[in-house]
Amino acid sequence: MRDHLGNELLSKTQAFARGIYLLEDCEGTFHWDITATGLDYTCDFNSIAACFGTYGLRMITRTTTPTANDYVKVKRHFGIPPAGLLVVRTKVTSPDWAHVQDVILRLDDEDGATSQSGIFRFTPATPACTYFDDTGGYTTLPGMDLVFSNGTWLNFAMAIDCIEKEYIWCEIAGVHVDLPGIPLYLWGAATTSEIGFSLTVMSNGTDQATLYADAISATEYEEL
Amino acid sequence: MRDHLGNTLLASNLEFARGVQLLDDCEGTCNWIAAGTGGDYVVTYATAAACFGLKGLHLATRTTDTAADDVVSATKRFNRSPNGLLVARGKLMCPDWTLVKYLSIALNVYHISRLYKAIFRYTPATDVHAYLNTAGTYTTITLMVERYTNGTWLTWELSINWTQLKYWGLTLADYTPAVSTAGMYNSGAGTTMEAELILSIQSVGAAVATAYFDAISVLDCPDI
Repeated sequence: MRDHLGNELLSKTQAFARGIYLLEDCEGTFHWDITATGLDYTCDFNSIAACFGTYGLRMITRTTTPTANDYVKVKRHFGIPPAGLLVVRTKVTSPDWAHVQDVILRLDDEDGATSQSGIFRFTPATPACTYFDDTGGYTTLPGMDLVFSNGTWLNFAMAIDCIEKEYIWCEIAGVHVDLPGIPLYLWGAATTSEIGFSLTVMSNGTDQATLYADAISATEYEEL
Repeated sequence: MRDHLGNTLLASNLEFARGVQLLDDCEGTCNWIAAGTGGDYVVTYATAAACFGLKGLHLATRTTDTAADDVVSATKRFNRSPNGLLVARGKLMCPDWTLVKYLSIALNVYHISRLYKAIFRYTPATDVHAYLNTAGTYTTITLMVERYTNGTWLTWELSINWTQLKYWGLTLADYTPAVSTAGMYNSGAGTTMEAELILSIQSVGAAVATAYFDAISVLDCPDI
């Protein structure tokens, strides 16, 4: 058998490249799974949410009887990367950070035996960034007590090791924190084998929380 | 720990690349933050403003009650780069330089509770190119005395090293003066942690000043 390894599809159409699991420019068809509080939340591709191109992902908590901790969550599922590494990146902003309780980036790693999660959370009001630790609580990350203007686009990213079941790093707005050896949280047994990737916005009070996201990717390697 | 480096997102969809803070071909939705004198200034994507593709960014001062020193600006905010470098670049053109008093490109950084400004300013009437110095006044770049024909598209670049709070480079058309020892202006208190690119023009007299921009990018490292 000939060598099947060779040139990778690094050019033009990245969707065909080997290590890419998700590449969402928010310009095409909306295929995210949505869960949210109430009924009249908003979750779509909209021009006001564009960081690049014409559209971005718009998430707004419910209009009717809004309360604190209302949320909108979008989720995609894909296979476990063979290399075991998974990097998710996006750009996010809010037209009013004061109405946002949390922005949460989450990776659920189900390998057929167990279900474990890596969760990276930005809390603008505090301000703080935290990760979900192996005891089921949130641990504050150093140097990430950042305040941003409304409308500022932020890089928001996390990497996990799906083999060692550990965090690798978290990043927001160019501030990078390595998390070597920090285990993911173990939920329990699982029979499915897949990765679940979700992005959530939660409201801070009785005002609707709005989050825009664009250029959302999940890849199995880090960039050089 | 295994090698975490592998596939790179270097190809067609540059918006997914790690070091890209802004990438605006002005073909999608215009989400620049607009400001200016009066109410009917223009910050939009227009076909007349296209250097590449169908549209470019059209800046024009107000039409009603036009007066000298009317201004219009377009702003984008994004996170600071992790490696300390920010390189803003694009194309610009003016259909009538005689109506423009100043054309300014600003790359500002909010850092440790202060707002630091780097501003490159061109004065068409006198051919003076200048940068904002640490004292808050403009230093003329003496070897940069150029006059441009109406309708000529010029390449511009403004780059900073925000960890050292210094300019890193300036370019307009074909000239790149040495400014790497020049410090940014500490303009006062800032509470946020981000960077911003501001494109602006100011009118000479009671006529509408216009400038066009296209292919606008901000990267966190220079091109190789």
